[in-house]
Amino acid sequence: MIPQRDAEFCEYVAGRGERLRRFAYLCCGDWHHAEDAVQTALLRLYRAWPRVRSSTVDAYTRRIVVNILISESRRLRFRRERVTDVLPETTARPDGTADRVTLVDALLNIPVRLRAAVVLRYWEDLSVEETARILGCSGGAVKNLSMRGLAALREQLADTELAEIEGVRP
Amino acid sequence: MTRDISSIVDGELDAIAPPSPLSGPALAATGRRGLRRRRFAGLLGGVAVIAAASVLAVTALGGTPPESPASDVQPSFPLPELDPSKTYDWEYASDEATPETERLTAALWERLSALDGVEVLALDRGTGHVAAPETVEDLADFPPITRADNKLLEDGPEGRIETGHVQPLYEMYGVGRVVLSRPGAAKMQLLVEMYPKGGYLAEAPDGVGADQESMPVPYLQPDCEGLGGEVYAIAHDCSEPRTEGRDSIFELQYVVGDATPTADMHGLRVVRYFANGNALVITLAGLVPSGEQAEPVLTGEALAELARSLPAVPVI
Repeated sequence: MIPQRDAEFCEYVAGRGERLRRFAYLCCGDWHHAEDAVQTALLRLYRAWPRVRSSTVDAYTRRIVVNILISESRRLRFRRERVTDVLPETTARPDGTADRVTLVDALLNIPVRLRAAVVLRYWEDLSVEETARILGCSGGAVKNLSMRGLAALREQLADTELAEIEGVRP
Repeated sequence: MTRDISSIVDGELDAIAPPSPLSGPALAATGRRGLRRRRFAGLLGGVAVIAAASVLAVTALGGTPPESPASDVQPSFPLPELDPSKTYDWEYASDEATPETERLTAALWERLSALDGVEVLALDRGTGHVAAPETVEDLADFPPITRADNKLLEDGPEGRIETGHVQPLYEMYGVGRVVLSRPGAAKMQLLVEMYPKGGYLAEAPDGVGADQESMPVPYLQPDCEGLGGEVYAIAHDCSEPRTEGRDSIFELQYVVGDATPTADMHGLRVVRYFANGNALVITLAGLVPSGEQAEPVLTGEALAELARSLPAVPVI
């Protein structure tokens, strides 16, 4: 049933791969690490594909990404040959956009576990229970992490920026 | 007017996200190879079968490399007993410069800066921005070789568990990658690693077949057909096995087909075994449009010469 597995898997990667990459970037702040982590997660997902239910595939994959980038590693690195490896076709940030990334920059400046909780709750819009399963902690811990994450986020942002963001003010 | 966190973050990521290299077909192809390897390994009782790549040329280099001084201070880091039914992986932490890595770094940059006609570039990991040093001194800002603790983890469905085994590894790692460029040749990323004795084997250990995932130490695998993206066995065909206690260098060229939807990955690697058993592994790898041939930025001989020029420091 490999063709069917491949078709389903490719459809999943096409539909969710970019979101996963962005999630991984928000967790680690490095596009290459994010791509490595997502690639590793997707390869593990491919192996497990027949056993993973469609209703839980996102949570399964995000949990692997979290395990790779947060739970297991103070600093995880990858030395194996990559399936894809972007060599230096420059992807430098366009001039002037640096000033517009204040919220992402602020997120990347808060502790990683607080950040993951905020990202899962408010960017991925997951419930406390879903977030807890991915982070491998209790619902109470997720509420605590989210609250502290938002507080840390507020410290990073100016009042004018806070005024434009719904739900961040205490 | 206020907007929620999600829409603001999405907008900002739209502005800064580099193009995604993720490819479902390429990942599926790698995943298939992994499944096939497992099946073949079971069917053939461990006979080496790797189907991921074609080896273009495999050479045990002739000539006599300079003898490195055998170090009597090189400790061993024997693996713990591994469960054949489980898979293992490594985690790296605690980068630090040591006198040994500083010697390696200095020798590496001295050699790289002396390469004729080759431009050394730094690729920033975060932004993908490419910069070229204007002076040799600028190379000091490039990723140094550092020492990392290499922790063996057991890979499980719910995450990975520490086995307690730790061995050192020297490698070039930092905020950026080093890319070599030369007119008319493919740009290639340079990777330099030095493993302690037993960390990168010249041949498969007794009883270990290719692709056996419970053997998490890379090793040169004779008579394979290719080089896998995930497998630890590195294809080669060595008519003269390594002589214990002597320097030897192996050169491999490989192509991983369909590394992306439009490109193959071309690689050139030399492995130098020092007399003290340590292994220096230098790899150049870069993407080349599918079906095209590209001259590597360095020849195998030049890469081997680079390996010969680096000192035989203990990995401790």
